Amino acid sequence: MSRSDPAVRLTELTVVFGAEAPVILGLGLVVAAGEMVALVGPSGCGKSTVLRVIAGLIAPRSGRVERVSERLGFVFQEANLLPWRTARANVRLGLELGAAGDPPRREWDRRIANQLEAVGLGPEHWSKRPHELSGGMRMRVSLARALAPRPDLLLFDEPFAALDDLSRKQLNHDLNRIRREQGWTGVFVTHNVEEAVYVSDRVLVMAANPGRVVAEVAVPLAYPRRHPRREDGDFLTIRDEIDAALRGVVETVAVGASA
Amino acid sequence: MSMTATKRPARQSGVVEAVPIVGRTWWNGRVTHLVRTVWPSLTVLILVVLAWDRAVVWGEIPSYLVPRPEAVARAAWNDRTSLASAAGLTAQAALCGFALSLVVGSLTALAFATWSWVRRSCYPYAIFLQTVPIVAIAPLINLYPGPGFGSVVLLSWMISLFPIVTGGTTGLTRVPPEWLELFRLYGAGRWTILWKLRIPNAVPHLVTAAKTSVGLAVIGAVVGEMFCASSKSGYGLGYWIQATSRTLEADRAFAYFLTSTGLALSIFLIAGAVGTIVLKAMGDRATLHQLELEYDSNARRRRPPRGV
Repeated sequence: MSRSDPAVRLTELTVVFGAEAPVILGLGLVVAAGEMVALVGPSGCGKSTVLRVIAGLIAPRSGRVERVSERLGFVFQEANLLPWRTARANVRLGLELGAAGDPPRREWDRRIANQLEAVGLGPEHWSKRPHELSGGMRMRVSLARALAPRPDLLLFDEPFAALDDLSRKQLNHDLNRIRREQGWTGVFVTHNVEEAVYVSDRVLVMAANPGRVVAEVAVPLAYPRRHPRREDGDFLTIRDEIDAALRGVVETVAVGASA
Repeated sequence: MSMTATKRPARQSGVVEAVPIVGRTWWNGRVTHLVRTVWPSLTVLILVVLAWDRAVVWGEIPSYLVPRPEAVARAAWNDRTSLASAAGLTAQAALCGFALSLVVGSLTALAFATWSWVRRSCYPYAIFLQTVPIVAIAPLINLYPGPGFGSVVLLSWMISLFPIVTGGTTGLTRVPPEWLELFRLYGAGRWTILWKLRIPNAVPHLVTAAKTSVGLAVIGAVVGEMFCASSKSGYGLGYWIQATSRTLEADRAFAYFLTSTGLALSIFLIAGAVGTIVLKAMGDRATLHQLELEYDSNARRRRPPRGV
């Protein structure tokens, strides 16, 4: 699969929960292999639903979901670590559930150590249980668990939303580095526009009622990206463009509500 | 003069002097914890015994109705051999009943959690076990299986089963949906989810249920011995409580009764300690946090920071 081939293609996707109005209506989305696409939008616009449809956790009412990637990783908003397992054993869970014989069991320990090192968690924390780790560390373990089976496609559902700004920036930076090293495709849902710009190659702005993509902004910033780049003119221009699109979405909703 | 002069500004400016926690070893924390836990209940016990003694003396209550604590202690000492063997027999019956409950209850909970139709069809009967009065069913048990150790165990099992079933079912079914979503994402099957997620999630619930169940098992054994004891299997505490009450040997009846209470308490404490060990080995978040918070608050109470 070359870099320009799509890893994910959603065509005319419509999702309805029960008898209510569609949560997502006629959404189209193509994510190229190796690309990271960020989804931003107001609450309730169906960003997380899109991820769950791609993951196969929710069946759409209509439309097509094509996913080339066999191996999938998902990083949730909460770390979702099992409290009775150590950090290492939680990462191991990713292999127990998702490895399917590759790598063979004898290589698991090395793979787990590699992933924990890749996400920046020192060996002194590997035997700790989740309640002994900080929020940032827990999220690093969660990321390592998703990365352990070497997924082709990683889905992120506001993974760093609950973290402090410093931890979030550090994890954004680490995520970029890991993606450059490992080359997986990603879809990243976030409310934070700066984060969306920093971690992605393309940002899609979604509107609610029903959920749909209303704007697409390319992020042609070079890698490796460093934090000072957030103050760069290019960075700010892209951020402002997305902000403007988001303001348009919110104002449309407000006008619709008052009419 | 100089000492006062150097300390006062520090207090006024809100600077808190750092106090090293000296001697913070695990055992002195535990000993203090034990003293703080045991002392209040021990004080109540002493006051109750004193009040009991005074009430008997000042109220001139006949000893065949309420004996003095001293008479109970004497009766217990005189009957020590019989008391020990009766307590041993009751403990055996209660532990057998409890073990049976643990096995059968866990398997039932597993069936309830795995197949909802089993839960829907059998849960009302599990509730029946909880609601039926044990003294009402005991004569029937004595009638059908007949008197003996097995019937005592059966009664102990019947009364201690329900908490395990409900605790186990709750733990197996009330799994946070985000954990289930994670497992489903990887295409984990029912048995993988059961083995790697539901069963570990149920352990804390089972530990709590086991603590309730083990107390009930002792009650079941004592009541069972009142109705189902036989010379072949030996006589437990329940039998002796009833027999000595009938002959108005109140001092002996009290001795057997208090021994049964002590037995229930001991088994409960042992079950609690085993449960804590299991939870700690599993890294149960709530239990560990609770222990750590208690330990920390004890440490703070021992050495309050000076200068605040």
